[in-house]
Amino acid sequence: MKRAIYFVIAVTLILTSCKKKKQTEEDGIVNINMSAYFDSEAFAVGNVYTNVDGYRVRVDDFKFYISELAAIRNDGVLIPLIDIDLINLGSGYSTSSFELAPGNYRGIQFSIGVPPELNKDQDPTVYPNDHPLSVNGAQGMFWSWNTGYIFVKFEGKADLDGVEGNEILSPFAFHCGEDLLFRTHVIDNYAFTVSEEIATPIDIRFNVEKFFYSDNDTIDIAVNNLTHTSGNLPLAERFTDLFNLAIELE
Amino acid sequence: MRKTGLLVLMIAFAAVSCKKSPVEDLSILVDEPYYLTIPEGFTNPDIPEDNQLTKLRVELGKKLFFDKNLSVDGSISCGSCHLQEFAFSDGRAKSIGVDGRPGRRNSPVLFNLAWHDRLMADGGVPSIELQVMVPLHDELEMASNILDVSAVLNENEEYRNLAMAAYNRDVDPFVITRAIAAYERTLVSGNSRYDQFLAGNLNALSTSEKAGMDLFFSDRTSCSSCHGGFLLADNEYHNIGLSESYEDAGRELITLDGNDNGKFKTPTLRNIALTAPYMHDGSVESLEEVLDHFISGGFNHPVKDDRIRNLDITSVEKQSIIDFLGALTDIEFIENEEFRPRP
Repeated sequence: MKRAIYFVIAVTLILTSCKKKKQTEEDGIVNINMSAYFDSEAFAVGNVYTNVDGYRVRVDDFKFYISELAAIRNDGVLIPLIDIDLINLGSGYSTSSFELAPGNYRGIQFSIGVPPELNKDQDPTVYPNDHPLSVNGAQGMFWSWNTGYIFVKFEGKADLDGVEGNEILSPFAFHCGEDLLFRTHVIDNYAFTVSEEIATPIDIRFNVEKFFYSDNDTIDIAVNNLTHTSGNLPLAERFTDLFNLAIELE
Repeated sequence: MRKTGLLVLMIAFAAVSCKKSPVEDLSILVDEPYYLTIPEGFTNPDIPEDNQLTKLRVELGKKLFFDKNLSVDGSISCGSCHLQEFAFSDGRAKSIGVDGRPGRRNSPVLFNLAWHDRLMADGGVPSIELQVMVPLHDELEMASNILDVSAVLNENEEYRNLAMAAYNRDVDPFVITRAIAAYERTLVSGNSRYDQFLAGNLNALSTSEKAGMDLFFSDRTSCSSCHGGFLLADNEYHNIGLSESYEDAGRELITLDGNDNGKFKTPTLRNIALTAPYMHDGSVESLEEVLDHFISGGFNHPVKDDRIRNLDITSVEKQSIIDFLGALTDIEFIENEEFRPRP
């Protein structure tokens, strides 16, 4: 009988030792929803949109790293939610759920890119396969020849005549990385309340149309259509600025 | 007491039950340390904690180095562009990748890498381990993907067993990068006639070679201010006025600093007579032409190294320097069968 008890104890230990920590009963749920749109249309790779210069544009790949995402409590304390994650907005939408203590928050903070201490000269082979910085998890967002991560990859093809029915053949590719392109957003006028009863949505939206222009700059992809950061840093800086300006909280 | 012991065993079993079970049948693979033979005058190299040299790691690395499965179409291996007879370069201006694609730069030599601070002509990579992924992923070289390569190699029992015995894990990017780096660290060259001369064999160099050596290490030429030390290289980056305008920006590609335009890592001069053509782009065909370049002072460039200036030396002196460079060839190294793939 006692052996049976020991066996039960052992099985219980086995079963519980592999589980993640159970959500505490006090915590509420926050859903971080990221979505992309083009002007007023829902965005998805493979669709064709007309950009500010009248070019018909088809995006084939759109990924970026988000890091150090935290909720800002009303007393100013940062509550970390995401250390680092690779977001693929190819379908136009991505969502993740997190536990957060109930209460009032005045905003969120996050960065676009890989924090400097995790970026240059780091080894992606030491991470487990499901880690966003691993060879597998990075999904090609890593430069082998210039050891470091691509923060934002936005590439596709365009029809520069803008004529319906034309083949879309002119490539563009913005691969932006390097520590100096790491950008942090502090949004402390985005008040929200977390409760135990209902999930709280936080909607981060990316206006893809604005990746090509702002009030102060326009990237004409007939002329400026390729940067791997190295070799064309000015264009990478311009795209990074436009990309970060195009982020909105709803 | 017996029951307490049983409980301890159960808890221990619970604690390890989340870990992967090890491959059991590795009885034929027993690993042991691999001791580098350090040439006289060389320092002890720093070797990463997670990749200390062992015989199985080196053996696995050698097998991978010569395996064409690392390329996307199975047509080339690391050894295709790094041949022992050329001191592990390839004798071409630019290497030929899959589908006959010409590469961007001249194939570098592979020896004494354990003493290099950074890898690649522009220094873009901080370790031998990480350098392994560069040609593997380059569309102009192997055009492959280390995850796909891992999957293919894991189908092979010999690879699986070697990886498990050497690194206690399946073939994966960690194992591939570590093992090839381990093999490359064993490629040590330090027994040229110049080394034998330094070791006390005064007859190892001819009269002309000795004269060339004296010139090489003199302030008249300043050759050794970059090509000094036991590596005959300084682990630094210099613009040597090879061109007024560089198609390949070199070190600037990594630092993003215009002051690094056209700067490339100083190549070692060991085995230099075997590694023509020369320069980062293979644009200089012979050692004589290399000397002509340095004697002329090269082209003007805003960041050209001050030491590259017109040299006032005679043709006899020039020939003596070329003769000395020839004495840097390490025959034992290029004939060492340990570095070759097993038949």
